Amino acid sequence: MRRGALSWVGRLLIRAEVISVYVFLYLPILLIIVMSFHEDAVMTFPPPSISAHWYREFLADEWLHAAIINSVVLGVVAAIVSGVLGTLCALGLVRCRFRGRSVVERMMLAPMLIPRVILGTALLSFLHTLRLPRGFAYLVIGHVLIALPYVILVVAAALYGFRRELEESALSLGANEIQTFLSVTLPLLMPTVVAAMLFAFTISFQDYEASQAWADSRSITLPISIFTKIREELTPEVNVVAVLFVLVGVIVPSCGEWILRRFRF
Amino acid sequence: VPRAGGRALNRLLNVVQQHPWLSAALLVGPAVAWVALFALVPSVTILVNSFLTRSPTGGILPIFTVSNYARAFTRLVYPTIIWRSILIGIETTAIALLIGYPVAHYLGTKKGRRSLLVLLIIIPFWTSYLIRIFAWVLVLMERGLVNATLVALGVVEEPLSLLYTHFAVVLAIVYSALPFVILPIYAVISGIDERLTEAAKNLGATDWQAFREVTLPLSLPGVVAGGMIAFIFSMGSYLGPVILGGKDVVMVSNTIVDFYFQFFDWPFGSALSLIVVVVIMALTAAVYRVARVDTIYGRR
Repeated sequence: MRRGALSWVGRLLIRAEVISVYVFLYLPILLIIVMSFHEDAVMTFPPPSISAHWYREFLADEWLHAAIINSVVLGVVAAIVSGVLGTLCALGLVRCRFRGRSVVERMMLAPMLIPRVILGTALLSFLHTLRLPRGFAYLVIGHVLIALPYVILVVAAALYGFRRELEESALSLGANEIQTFLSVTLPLLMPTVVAAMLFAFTISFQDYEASQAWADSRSITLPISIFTKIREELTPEVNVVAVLFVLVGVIVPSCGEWILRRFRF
Repeated sequence: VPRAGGRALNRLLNVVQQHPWLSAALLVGPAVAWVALFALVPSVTILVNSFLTRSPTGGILPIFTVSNYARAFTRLVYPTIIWRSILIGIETTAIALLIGYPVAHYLGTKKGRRSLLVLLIIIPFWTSYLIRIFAWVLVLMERGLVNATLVALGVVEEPLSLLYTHFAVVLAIVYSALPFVILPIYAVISGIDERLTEAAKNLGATDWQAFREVTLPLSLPGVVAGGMIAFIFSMGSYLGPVILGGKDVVMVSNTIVDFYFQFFDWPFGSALSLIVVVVIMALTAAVYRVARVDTIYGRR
């Protein structure tokens, strides 16, 4: 009886803790959304009056528009390149037996385990010695590097869960390994690759810490321009851009998660 | 011509098929080359630069010196900054594990649909780290959410100064690191056979004993993997201290950025970076002994 009562209390406490963690995770995000409708330039909570003033400012801010275009183009390029390289690499790691495989596995995680600031300054130091000027090329190279481990992890996880029977039946029906790959494996794997590319786009779109070392004045990304605004002229317009980041961070990866669940094999 | 090309491709594919090692190299090669060229070679570059001399104009002179390391270890400010980064890394990781573990356990042992709840843990991770840090300015600023609430409730008369403190930096980094600890632990716990805990309870163990003797030890690989990623993330944090720490809470990434882009002293910035990389490599080497890489790649 007493034992039952104790574990009842324990379960209640755990439930309360779990709920508070969810509140903790979402409270700041909700606050950003509320404060984006703040009317005055100097922010206070609660907002004395609500308006869409700073949304209109944002829509008229051409400096930010240029940064958005840079970030989107960069994200798409980084997603495609890291998607292709990462998928090939995951196939090699999961399907092939070769010496040095575990070394490669560890090496491919390195960009995820080195702090972004150091990835940024190290790549800058190297490309600078090659006399390559900072700018869009740096960003593409770097964002592919950052996104690659995530693409490999997503695709490799899918490949480990792959039902080999489908490929085996194609092989037993007389297809060779290449035909089997192109007509069975690749079509089944495609949704996972698209999902991985959506994650890669998100990672590229959101990075500030490494990108600050790579961009020049013509290739400013949205995170860099918003960082400048936070430091130099903090107005509710920053919240509006933050809402945009939240929307991209919710919608794009959720599409990825949906694809992963919908097309699970 | 296309037919000849097709035949050449077929022949190439046949060669590849006969040499399994070659197909592995073609698949893994491009990504390995990318990481080698743009992460490993740059590490060597900063290793070399860290032993060179800064020129008076901010360039790098090819003159060998150990003075960058001498400076990093003997001038009191730099060991203090490195040590502070390690301590903040440990502190935030410990707090994140303490508040994250129960959530991971709850999700991992929950019956029925839990994919939405797991997704809700992942989603904040996908929002820019910059925005997740900035949000805490709105929570903690002088006329922000916390102070408005405390003043309205009459707990304090004057707003507290919460921004630009150790507390603000740790809180915001814990907030950002939570998904890193919850997700790996959740993945490990949801893979534990529930008949094991049932067996323990049938043999007379209480819920708590079953947890302590069965679930907790089996979940340790997840704790180690999540803790490692959270520690690296926290220790290397730049945006946390730069936005919420002010002048008092400077961490090593801030100093590296300052030396690169304000003082144009790349050799010293490289020396600091390399010290961080060595700390991380020592940690990951130790962790890879406990948690196999396999578990990170989701192999069953």
